[in-house]
This record gives sequence, C-alpha cells and structure tokens, in this order.
Amino acid sequence: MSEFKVDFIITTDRTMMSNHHGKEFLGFIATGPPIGMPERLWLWLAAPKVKTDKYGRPKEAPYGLRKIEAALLNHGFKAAIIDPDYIGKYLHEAKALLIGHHDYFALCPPSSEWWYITKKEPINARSFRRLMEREEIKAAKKKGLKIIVGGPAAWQWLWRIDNWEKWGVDTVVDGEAEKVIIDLAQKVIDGESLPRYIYISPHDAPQINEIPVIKYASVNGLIEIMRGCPRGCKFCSVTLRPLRYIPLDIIEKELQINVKYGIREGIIHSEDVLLYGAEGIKPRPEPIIRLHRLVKKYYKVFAWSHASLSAIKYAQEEYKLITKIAELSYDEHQDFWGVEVGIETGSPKLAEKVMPAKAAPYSARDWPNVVEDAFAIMHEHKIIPAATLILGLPGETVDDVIATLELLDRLKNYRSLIVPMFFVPMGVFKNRDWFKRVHLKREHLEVMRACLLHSLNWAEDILNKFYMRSPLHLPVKLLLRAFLMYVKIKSRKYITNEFLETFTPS
Amino acid sequence: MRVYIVGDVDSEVLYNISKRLIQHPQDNKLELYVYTRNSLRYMEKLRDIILNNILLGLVIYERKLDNIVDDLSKLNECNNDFVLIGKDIPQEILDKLRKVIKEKHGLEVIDG
Repeated sequence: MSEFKVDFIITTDRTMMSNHHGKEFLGFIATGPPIGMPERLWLWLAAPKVKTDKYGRPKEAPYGLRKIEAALLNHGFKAAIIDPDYIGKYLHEAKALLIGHHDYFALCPPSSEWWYITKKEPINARSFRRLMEREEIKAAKKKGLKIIVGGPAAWQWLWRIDNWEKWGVDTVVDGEAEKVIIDLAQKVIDGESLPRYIYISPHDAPQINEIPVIKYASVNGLIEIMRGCPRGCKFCSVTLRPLRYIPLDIIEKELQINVKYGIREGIIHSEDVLLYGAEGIKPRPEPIIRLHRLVKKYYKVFAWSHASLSAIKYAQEEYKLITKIAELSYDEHQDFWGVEVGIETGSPKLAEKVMPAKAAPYSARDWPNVVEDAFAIMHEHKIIPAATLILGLPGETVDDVIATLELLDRLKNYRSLIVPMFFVPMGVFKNRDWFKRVHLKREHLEVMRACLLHSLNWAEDILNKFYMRSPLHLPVKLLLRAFLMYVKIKSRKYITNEFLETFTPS
Repeated sequence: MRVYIVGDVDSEVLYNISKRLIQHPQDNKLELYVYTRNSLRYMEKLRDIILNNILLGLVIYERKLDNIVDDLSKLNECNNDFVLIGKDIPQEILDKLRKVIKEKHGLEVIDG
C-alpha cells in the first residue's frame, strides 16, 4: 500500500496520458485503428507510456488535467494526476475518479472519419473502454467511488448514454471546469448527491484570475496563452467561449514549471496564436514578439497549436511579423515549427455562410487567395502546417466541393499535410446532422484522394528533412517510414480513376 | 430558472418547453430536476434541450420520484419555475403533488 493518499484521482487512458515521443502530432495516430501493424505496436507509436514517479504521478500530463489538479490543490483537496497503470493503488480509498479526454468514443474528427473509412474502431476509443472496464474501477464503484468526466469531448456522453449508465459515470461536465470542479469536489466530500450533467455557459466560464497556474509539467510543455476565439465559425465550439488573454507573467510561471521538470520544448496553445493581444482580429506585433521572446527564453524549440490563415497573411503583409518571429526563433536548436490550421473549405460561398469571419480582415469572398497566400508565407518560413478540411458542412453543394478540389490543386507545391474531416455537429451547428459515409459523393472522394496524395508526398519530405532528427527517435522514424510505405501500397487501388468510376453515390 | 420534470414526459412537450426556455431565458442558468426511476433514459429526451442551448448554463439533477413532494414543499420562492407532469406517476404521489403545487405561487404546471 502506498503512503501517498489521494481523494481525487485525476486520470485518462493511455492514448491521452503520453507525450507521444515528444511529438504531439504523433498523438493523432491514436485517432485511427491499427493499420499494417499489431495494436500494441500502433499504440506504442502513438502513445508510449509516460515516465512516472514512484507514486505513479506522470512526469508530463495533459494540460487540461493539470488545470483541474491545480484548482483542486489550491482549494485544499487531496488530488493528483495518476497514470492509468497506477490508479489501482488508490481506487480503494479514493472518493472520486476524475477523467478528461479529447475523444472518449472516437466521435470527433479525424477518429470518426478513420472509423467510417476502415470500419474499425479507432484505438483511442478502444483504449478508453479498456480503462473503464477495469475490474478495480468496478470494485471501487461498488464501494461508493464517484466518477466525474469532462474535457473537450464531454458532449460525446450524450450520444453514449448506455456507456454512461453501464460504467456508472455520476456526472458529465461540459465546459471549462476549473470553478465548478471545486463545488463538485466539496459535494463528494460532504456525501451530497451530484448533478448528472453540467453545461458551463460563457457567463460561468472562469475569468483570468480564476484560472489556476499548473503545478507540474504538461504534455510536451504545452502552455495556454488565450482562451476563446472571436471569429465565430459556426462549426466550432471554442468560439462560444469568451475571449481571454493570459497575461505574460502567468505564461512565464507555467514555462518555469515545465522547465523545472525538465521540459525544454513546448507548444504555445491558442485557437489562433497570432491573435494574442490582438486588436479585434488584427494581429499586433508587440504582444506577439514579446510572447515569442518569452517562450524562447525557456524553451529550445516551440510549436504553435493553431493559427488562422488570415492572421498569418495579415501579420506578414502588414508587419513582416512571421519573418521577425522566425528570426528570433531560429537558432542551433530550431529551424522550423509546426502548426494546425483550418482551411475547412475552398468555396468562398460556403465560407461566407459558415465562417464569415475566418478570412477577416479580408473578405470571405477572397478565402481561397487568403489560404494560398498564407501557405506560401509558411512554406517560405519553414512553418509546417497540418491543415484540416471539413466535408459535409451544412449547406455544402457539389460546387463547393469542386471549389475545394481546385484550391487543393493550388496548394500542391506548399509543404504541408492536409487532412479531410467529416462534419461533426459542434458549436452553433451542434444540433445538426452528422455527416456520414452514406452522404459521400464522388467529389468528396476526389477531395480525399487529393489530400492523401498531397500528404503522402509531403510527409516524406517532412520526415526526411525536418522531423525527428535525433538518433533517439530512429526507431519511431523507421516505423513511420514503414507505415507511409504501407499506406502508399494499400491506397494504390483507391487513388485510381477506375476506383472513382466504380463509386456509386447514395 | 428551475424545471421539475416528473415521471415520463412526452418528448415533444419537453422539446417545445425547452425551446421556449432557451430562446427567452429568465436568467443565465437553467436547472432541470428529473424525477425518475433511476435510469438515464431521460437523457435521450433532454439531449435536444442540451444541443439547442448555447448560452445558458445548464445543470441536470436526477432525483427519485418519491422526493418530488418533499422537494417542492421546501421551495421558498418559485419564480417562473415549471413543473412538467408526465405519465407513470403513482396516484398517491400525483395527488400530493397537485396539492403542493396549488400552495405555491409562481409555479407553472404543464401536463406532458
């Protein structure tokens, strides 16, 4: 028995509790089912076990869980993030198990898409199910353990009520939970009944001074610089949250925490990094430069979580800001950085309907040009985007899909990965229908084919010239190369015109 | 604003009420108290409320059917609160429920 006791175990399954070999992007492999290799090897590639201390506390843990942990510790609760392999040590005495996840049931893109395409359940959902069906959790549940789930994928429980009931989940918390978790924890301690479901509205979202500073290192040194997004795209849930900029002194504290625990590379997290300290949707050089100087003071290497293509274009064309960030960042440790960007559609007409402010300060009518200009800027500055497209957006027509195909053709010379995703109802569109395999038209398949060819082509270049250059990463790199080769061979029949000719739309 | 959902309430009634609440909120928070026989099936019916709601804070409590009379009796203030009375409520509870509702002002009753 451990001398270290916790009332509140905070955890998640292996696909989330991992640093993905120090490369966040590899975590996305867990959104697919194992392809061309055994599940164990696939899981190791996507999400190897993370280092822990003797109590099973992970050296790095997902940032969202770190926030919940900090909130509880600040209020005097005995709480700790525990690696899923170690929770059995604590379950018999703990009062509650708190679980967070990005994609509990593989319903988010791209998991849902891989599932539809391969007809096999992705590994993230399998791994989560294995966690929830552990005998030690069932036994603890019988003795009164409370289970509270939350995180960005909390909404998925509404579509998996059977699992909600079967696994004895007491409360689902949807939204920013730093405040509400304190009330819930107190209710658990006092033996009061818990609500079944909580949706935290924008009015109840924590203000800056209510967001606690993390106490231990986050996965891949991720630090949050702002919350919310002002662009109001209808398919996105983040845009429903109020916009808040985290002050630099708070950001610095979290950088220091990560460095203290040995993390020297990290991700700057925001829905749109270039909007940090912005004037509306126009980036301002001063806060961005100060932010990057601060990050480089602590981290040898950084990446951006997300940036908008319009902000990239505007920042460069108005202020040469991308060049300036590259100049202050590139050194003996770093000569590129990665970022996720959203193309979503190549159709100006659809862009006007579902994401009218995504191109701002440019017109939505100019969206394809904004995308291409931003891609050119990133290519020139060795910023490597992983871009998303959304297929099946509400109101999408065949002409819109053809416009996306035309845009993809314009992007073929720019170093990037482009991933098409099926529309999942979120944000203002959360009451709409899901886009499913049965809705696929021939033009959608053509977009998917174009994305596959584009990404396979550039993945090799990225892997050869930029990614995982340390000898320590050689086994992972070799496995990734083998996987790319396998995908190339297996996808041959799907990328031929003959295959498209045989496709019958439903 | 509080909504007490008692027994098996028709989905359509629930949906219409929820639309009204969400489109014309009295305050920023909606508390739903579901009096049920301990099954999460009611969440399927509440899903529409949740999915149509963006701006309101929403809390759903599950209570035992036997508690409804006591819970309403203890209410000090009913301000634009609702009671939705559905099917499958034992007559004894239903009688007591109707009685306690009469004693409370500002409690709107909808039979669903």
